[in-house]
Amino acid sequence: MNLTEVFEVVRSDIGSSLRAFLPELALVATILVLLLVRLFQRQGTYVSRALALIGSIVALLLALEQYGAGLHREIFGGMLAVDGYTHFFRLFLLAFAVLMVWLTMLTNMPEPEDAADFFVLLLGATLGMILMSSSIHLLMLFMAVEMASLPSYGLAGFLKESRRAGEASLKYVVFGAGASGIMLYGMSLLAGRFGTAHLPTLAERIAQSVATEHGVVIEPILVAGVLLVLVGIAFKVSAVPFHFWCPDVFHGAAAEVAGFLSVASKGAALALLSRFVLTLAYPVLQAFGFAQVSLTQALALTLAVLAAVTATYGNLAAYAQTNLKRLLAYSTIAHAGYMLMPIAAAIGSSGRPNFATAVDVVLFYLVVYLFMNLGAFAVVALIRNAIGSEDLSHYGGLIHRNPLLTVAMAVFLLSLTGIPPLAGFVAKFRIFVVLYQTGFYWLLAVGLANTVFSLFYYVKVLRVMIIDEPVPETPAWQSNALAVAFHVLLIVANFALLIPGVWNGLQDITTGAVATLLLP
Amino acid sequence: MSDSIFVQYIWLVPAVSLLAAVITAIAGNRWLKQQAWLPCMLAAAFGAVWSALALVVVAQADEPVAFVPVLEWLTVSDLRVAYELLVDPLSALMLFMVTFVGSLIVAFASWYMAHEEGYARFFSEVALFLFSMTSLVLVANLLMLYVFWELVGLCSYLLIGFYYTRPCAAAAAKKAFVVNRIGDFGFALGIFLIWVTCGTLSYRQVLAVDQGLQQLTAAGPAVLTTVCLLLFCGAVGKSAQFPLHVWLPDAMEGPTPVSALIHAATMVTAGVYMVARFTPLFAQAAGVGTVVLVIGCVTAFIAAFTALTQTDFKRILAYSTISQLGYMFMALGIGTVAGAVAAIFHVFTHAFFKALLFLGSGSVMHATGGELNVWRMGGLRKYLPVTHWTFLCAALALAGFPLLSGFWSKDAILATVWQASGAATQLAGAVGLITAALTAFYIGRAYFLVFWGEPRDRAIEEQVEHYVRDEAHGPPEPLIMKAPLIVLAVGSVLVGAVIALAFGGLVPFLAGAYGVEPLAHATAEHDAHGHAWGMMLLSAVVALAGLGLAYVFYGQPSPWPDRLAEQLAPLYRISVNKFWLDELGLILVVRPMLAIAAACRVLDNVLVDGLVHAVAAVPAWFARLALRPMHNGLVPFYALAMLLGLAVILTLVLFQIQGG
Amino acid sequence: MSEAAIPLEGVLLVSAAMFVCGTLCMATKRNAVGILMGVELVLNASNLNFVAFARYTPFGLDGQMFALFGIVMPAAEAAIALAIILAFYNTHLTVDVDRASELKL
Repeated sequence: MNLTEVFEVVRSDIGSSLRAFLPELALVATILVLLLVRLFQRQGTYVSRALALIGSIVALLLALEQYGAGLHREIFGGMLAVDGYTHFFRLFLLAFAVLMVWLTMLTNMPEPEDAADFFVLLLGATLGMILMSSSIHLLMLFMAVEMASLPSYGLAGFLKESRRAGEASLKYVVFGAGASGIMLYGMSLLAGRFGTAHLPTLAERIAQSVATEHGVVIEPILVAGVLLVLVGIAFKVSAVPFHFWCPDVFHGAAAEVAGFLSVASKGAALALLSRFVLTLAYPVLQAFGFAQVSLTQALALTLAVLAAVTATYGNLAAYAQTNLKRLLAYSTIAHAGYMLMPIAAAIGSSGRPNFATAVDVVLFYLVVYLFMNLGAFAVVALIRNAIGSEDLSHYGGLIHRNPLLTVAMAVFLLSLTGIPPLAGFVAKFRIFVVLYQTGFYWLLAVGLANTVFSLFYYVKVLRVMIIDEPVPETPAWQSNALAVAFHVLLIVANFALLIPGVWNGLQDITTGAVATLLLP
Repeated sequence: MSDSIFVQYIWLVPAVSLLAAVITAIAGNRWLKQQAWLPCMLAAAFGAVWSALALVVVAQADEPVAFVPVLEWLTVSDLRVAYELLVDPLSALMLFMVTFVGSLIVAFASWYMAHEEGYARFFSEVALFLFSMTSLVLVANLLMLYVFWELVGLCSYLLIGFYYTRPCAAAAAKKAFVVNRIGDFGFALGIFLIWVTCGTLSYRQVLAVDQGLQQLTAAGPAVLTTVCLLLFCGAVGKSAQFPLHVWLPDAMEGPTPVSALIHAATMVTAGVYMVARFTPLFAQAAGVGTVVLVIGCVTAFIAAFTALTQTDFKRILAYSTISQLGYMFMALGIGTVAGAVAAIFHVFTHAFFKALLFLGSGSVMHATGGELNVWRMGGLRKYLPVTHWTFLCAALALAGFPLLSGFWSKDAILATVWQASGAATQLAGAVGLITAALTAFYIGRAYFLVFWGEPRDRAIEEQVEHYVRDEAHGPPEPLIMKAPLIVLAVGSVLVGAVIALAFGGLVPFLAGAYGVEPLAHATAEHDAHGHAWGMMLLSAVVALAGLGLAYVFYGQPSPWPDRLAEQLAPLYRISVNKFWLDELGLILVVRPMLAIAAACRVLDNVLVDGLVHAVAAVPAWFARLALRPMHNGLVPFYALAMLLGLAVILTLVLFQIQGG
Repeated sequence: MSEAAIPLEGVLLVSAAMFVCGTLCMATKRNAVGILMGVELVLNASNLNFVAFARYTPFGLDGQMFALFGIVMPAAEAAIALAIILAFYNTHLTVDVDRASELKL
């Protein structure tokens, strides 16, 4: 389908497309209102925050309603897909946006004069990320990535007076622009060679071109195109060696923003990666009766090596960190590595069932990851507000002054390590099970070794917070009901898989999301 | 039957207890204070009423077995873990017993525990126990059974160590915990083996003759036997059977209501319940029945013999509990439905009189200021009339005094054992009779020493007089404490006769739980009665003889006890020293374990810690060598590194594809 | 027609050369604005690809569209990048990216 046809379809289908696009439209409307507020009222955080909260909750409710309706179709003439997968990420990202706004309430993050801008950027980035998860057209995909990235650059440098924030956003924008350029180049090769940018069609044509009567033929342009696009996505996922920006940006940006990037941006990038890789690989695998061909094998091996290196590198590097944000940045990289593992296993194994469960566990992991990682960054932000430092050396004996934050941090970090019975354990365990079932034993070994490595630096933080001598004259954090509720919610979420029905419920949702992804 | 709300909402019974536990834990210390017992009391009373109604429904149903799905925890491929409840005559009867006796004990405890430190904590833990115990009885799945099996163990541990500042209480809690681990280890292995063989843990499938049972038998004769032995291993730990019974006497360090509730009436009978539940398996397993029979027999005798010479009031009762549990296992060892029914009958009656004995001892302890040595008491009947009379009822019931409840149930066990073919069972029947005589004697001894004669210790006498006169702490026997004693006493006297005479025994009722036609069993029952008359007469004579002897020895000052102790010095020493089982355990188990632990510690320090340090050193080394030069913060370097990465990946993949 | 003289491969080669120049520019320039220019080269290499494919293959109008968005979107990106570079200049008084090296291990 080329764009002229697309416009025709769009015109005939605009009404129902827009209806399916309602949650995103709600976000757009909120952004517009926030910009108007910015014009008339230059001061005050409350109005903007309330608007952002209402807007994201309305969008969340609309998304829930659509999830309930079980809509499953391509909209805007094949630019976007609204399927279970989209529903899942919409809910995931919008719920996360709500939590983010809640978090800013606790940490007083935007200065009053910048409040509207901050929330515009936050919701704008969220919108872009939702589009990343739902786009099935290369052009839309590129725009979605840009839409998510541009506000993120701004968010990273939001602390205008800070030298570090300036440096962080500079690095982010320079590398981000470069990565998107490379990705666009890859798209130009792919779309040009195969004459379409619509992902499912593209995938079918690739499958046709690979399976010729002379056997398997793989053109270098195909490999180059796919890999260049993957590099762009890998940059967003912060897979080694495209991760260099990540620690520096997280270090320089505010902890809240780092938390946002660490969860939402990674989540959206992984959503994009899974959809892109699976949509492309599925017809190829199908054409060969799910036997492995060199293309998918190479793709799987590349991803597997990337995943292994990323997880290992992230964990080893985190070990030497003293700045909490930087430590969590490396931890984020490591977790991206864990989540890449099953995607590699998905295309590397043969057979449709593995294919589905492999992505299923990634989504499962993402949900759990949201609760543990956001929690960790939130604690860092609140402690920064209390003691004015994010350095581990100032965290000594915090349990005496801030018991709630310390206990919460312990839960989040142990969950990140994957200690039973916390949710992080279940999530990681499921990934390892998939690796075992698909026969990626070496990757499984790497994953297990990494879990051991990671224990050291997470526990080191806890040791300092709990056992070490208190740093004299650290002020106590003033807790309030909202903050307590926030932490209790996140802590309960980290234990939630123990509650009967939650595990199955979550698994049903993720399985449903993946199932629709695979139907062409 | 399953459409009756009392069955459908049976989960309310555990749920309400859990709610009470949570409420008391949160609000107890701050708001409820001296009212902290109320949530627990209400939950237990609610449970008693609800389960009584459920029991009636079950008794009237044609098809008295219902599975009630409540919650699904998770489903991972074939493994389905669900909180599903099984309501059948067996579980309904146990549930009623637990909640009914539990609510009486909670009422008593509200008086007994008043002014104790940690009043709210006590009732929170008791409510948690009630939740776990009712769930244990109701669940329809071995995994869940194990979960609640451990949970009641945890509650027991917490409550034994209730006075955690006392070193001996802490040590007793630890001992109970560790000894139970040994049994539970076997129990867990048994469950694994069932899972591996049958692929399911639901009672529905495991106990079905054409499914689990068939698979277990088909897997080879040794499998079923191993499974049953391992399950029995768990029962030995939980129900304090030889040789794992050593924890129960020490567990008396806990508050007396806990001893009554957990260590006499309910939790320790969980093992009996479990074996009774799995009787269809045990019946098919070759040789296991004999093991159960022998263990039960040995336990019953050893414990009764030990109880003869103990001086600690509560320990006498504890050994008596162990001995009575031994009786129940003797019946289970027969491996027939009739045996299981007799065991459950005894569980039911035993709950009444043993709980009552403990509550009576609690009342005595309050009066004497915590004194436990029976030789320092005496003549208490005139100070504590209600305690005295109710204690007498319970003691007679335990002794098997004709027509009281213990008489019926013990007779049912002895008759079943006697009736079963085989030399071993004949021998067991004989031992059972001897033990019955011992039982009557030791409980008579305790009763006469405590309540008859004159006070033997001046200090204790003053303490009791002061206690009775002093109105500051209220009357010595207030209603809230008298009422449970009286209700339990009525139960101790009547329950056995009502069941045996009015309902013709428990067999017609409980047979429904095993899917056995009540009619088909009627003939067997008839036979049992035919034989039973002789046995009844014999055991009545034995009980009366034991009691009479106790009166002669201890009813008034007598030189006989000392003289006999001298003449039978070896036997006396065996009894006083409890067969040296504690010492034997110390030498055979504890010491070697400590030695192994010391060796492990050395190994741990050198090897494991060394390894851990090595593992920790790798990232540090990596960070110093590779990371510091790489993460130098320079934009061009980063860009170059990424580009190089891109180039390398591109080249490698292209080459790989060309090569492939 | 002149298009016969310049085959598709020729255009692709030019764009590939532009892509390489752009990436090298990104990796070697010390001036932040210079790096952005490298990015523009890469983007324009892709745009060249798009229009070339549009002209020579059935990709057609799609390629033109892509190129259009490929011009507009990076313009927005450049605007943000310049704003950030300006903010960086405010705190560091330079746009030399080598001076942005406070954030490191």
